[in-house]
Formats: sequence, structure tokens, C-alpha cells
Amino acid sequence: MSRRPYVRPMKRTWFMDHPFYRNYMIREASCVADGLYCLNLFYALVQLTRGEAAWNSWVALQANPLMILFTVVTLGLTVYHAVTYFDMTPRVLPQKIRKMVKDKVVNMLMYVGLAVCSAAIVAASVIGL
Amino acid sequence: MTDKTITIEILRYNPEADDKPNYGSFTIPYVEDWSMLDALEHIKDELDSTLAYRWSCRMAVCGSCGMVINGTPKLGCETFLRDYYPNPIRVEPLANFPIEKDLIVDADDFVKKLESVKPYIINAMEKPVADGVNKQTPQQLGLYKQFSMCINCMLCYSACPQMGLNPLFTGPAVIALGHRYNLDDRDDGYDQRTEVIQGKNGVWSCTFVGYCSEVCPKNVDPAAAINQNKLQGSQDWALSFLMPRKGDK
Repeated sequence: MSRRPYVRPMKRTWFMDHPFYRNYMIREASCVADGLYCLNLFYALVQLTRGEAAWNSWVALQANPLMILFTVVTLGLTVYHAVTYFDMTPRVLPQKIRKMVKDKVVNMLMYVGLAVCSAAIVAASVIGL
Repeated sequence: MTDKTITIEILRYNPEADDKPNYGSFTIPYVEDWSMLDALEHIKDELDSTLAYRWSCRMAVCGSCGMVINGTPKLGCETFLRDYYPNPIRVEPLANFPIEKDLIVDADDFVKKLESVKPYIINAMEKPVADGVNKQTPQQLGLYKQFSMCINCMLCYSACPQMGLNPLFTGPAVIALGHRYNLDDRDDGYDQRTEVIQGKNGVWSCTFVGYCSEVCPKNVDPAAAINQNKLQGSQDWALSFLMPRKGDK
């Protein structure tokens, strides 16, 4: 009786095999949309330094239906990333802290932090800082 | 026994005859309280005595009967036919391991990794007997207890895609066990485990897919153990600049 272990090759499409893997890949892929959106915002800064006409052309570009679609998709993926990331955060905390603070409390604090940051940004843009 | 039947498809591999694994199909009586292990026993006793699979305790303690059932890593002893009936059930050996024969996988690599993390209390035994026993409070026990519940069933290795992409990855169960001893206040082996846990194929090979913790039959949550160590490793790295003599060995 001789040993002849069989090694199964890993499929390139392994992430399509299970819903859990698919959701993981969506979470990871959200960084692509976020990265592209950051480039868009960086382009806005560049246009802002070039004067009013350049800035207005960037604002007009944002009203393009394709840009609106891109913004909505990016927002959706970012929210999905935030929710899944916040769910994982309590588990990453050092075990000593985890034993002292309930996972739900940590999770809630993450949302409070997000709300505070969002409110600060909205307030700053409304006041015109 | 009733007249009802259920079909079990098993990924078969005979190293002496087959070039690659193929599915074998068996139709067996459907008994409501049969586990997958009972079904495999029926197949081996009544239909095909060459079927190879591992089992021992039948009660989710020994960790021997890990297998992939309809795409999900599970223990055969706590998976029941009634949860799948009347649909056929597909049974495969654990993913990310070489197949030895049928549902039996080669776990040598896993055992080597398990040894590498030194899963035992270091230094505690060097204390003189006259000093008495090592006392531990319920809080100190509670800190690591969850990570000590691992039964080495290897379901988490089957669930981890990083394991398939990088077979050198130390893996969920081994890192969780190393973490268990690092969290034990009687243990003094943190530095000795660092190379395995923080090394190239340690925690940094994990991308927090998190499926290892989903499939764990003992709620060990190895994904938490791994990612707590990423935070710890980052802290050690930052502190090594502030306290270089302690940071450098």
C-alpha cells in the first residue's frame, strides 16, 4: 500500500463558490470604488486651484448621470464596508478590553463616531468653512 | 426503517487506482435521526466496505469527522440527514488538504504547524514544588477559555481561502491555540511564539474573511484570535522604537 496524496488545485473563481466568500469579495472590492472616488475628489481640488471656470466644469461633471450612478454605487459599497467593518471591530480589540466592554457597545460606538464625523463634515460645508 | 431513501454523493479517491477523485453515488434508507456519520457507516457496512473516513467519539468532541457537506465544512457527527432530505447530499473531504483516500485527508502539515506554536505552558513547570500550585482567578481563566475549546477538527482550515492560496499560512486553529497560551497568566512563552504568530506566514497572511469562525463547531472564533494578534504585533512594532532594547532580542 503506497501513499499517493491527491492535491486539489485552487480554482481562480474560488470566491464564487460560497455566499460568504462573495460577500467578502464585495467588501474588499469596495476599496476600488472608494479609491476612484478619492481620485475624483482630488481632481476637484486641482480644478479649484485653476479658477472659477475649471471648478464649475467639475461641478457640471458631477451632474452627469454616469457620475451620479458612480456616486450612488460608491456610497452603497462604502456603507456596506462600514457595516461589515463595524461588525468585526469588537472582535479585534485586545481580549482584556473585550471581556470588559460588550461587543454591542463597541459596535454602537463605531456608529456614533461615524455620525459625529459625518455631522461635522456636513456642518462645516453648510457653514462654509 | 421506512421505505424513504436519500442519495449521498461522495468524492472518492483510491490512491492505488485513481488518477483523480470522482464522485460515487449511494442511495440509502432515510432515517430521521441519522447523522452523516450514521449514513457513512451504513454505506461502509452494507454497500461498499472500501469507503474510508475518520470518526471516533460521535459527539463533537474528538474532531475526527470533519468533512465538507454540500459545500460547507461540518462535523459528520452533528450533521443530520433530516436537514437535507429529500435533496441529495454531496460529501467531500476537507478542502485545502491533500486527499489520502476518500474522505481522509493528510493532516501532517497541520500537526507540524500545531507543534511550531508551542501549544503548552512554558516556564510554569520550572517553579519549585515548595512554592505550591499555580493559582488562577476565574477572570484570568475567562480571558483564554474560549480559545482553549478547540478540538483540532480542521474545519477552519477548510473554510479559509487564504489557506488554499498560501499553504504555508500557519492557519486559524494554530494561531488561536498560540493566542490561548499567550493569554494564560501562568505562561511565559510569548516571545517564543512571536516568530510563528507574527512571521511572514503568521497572522499577516490572514485577510479577515472570517469564515473560519462561522464554521467552528466550538465557537472558538479563531478570526478574532488572529486579528487581536495583528493589533498586538503593531503595538510591539511601535514600542520597539520607543524601547529598542526590549523590542530587540
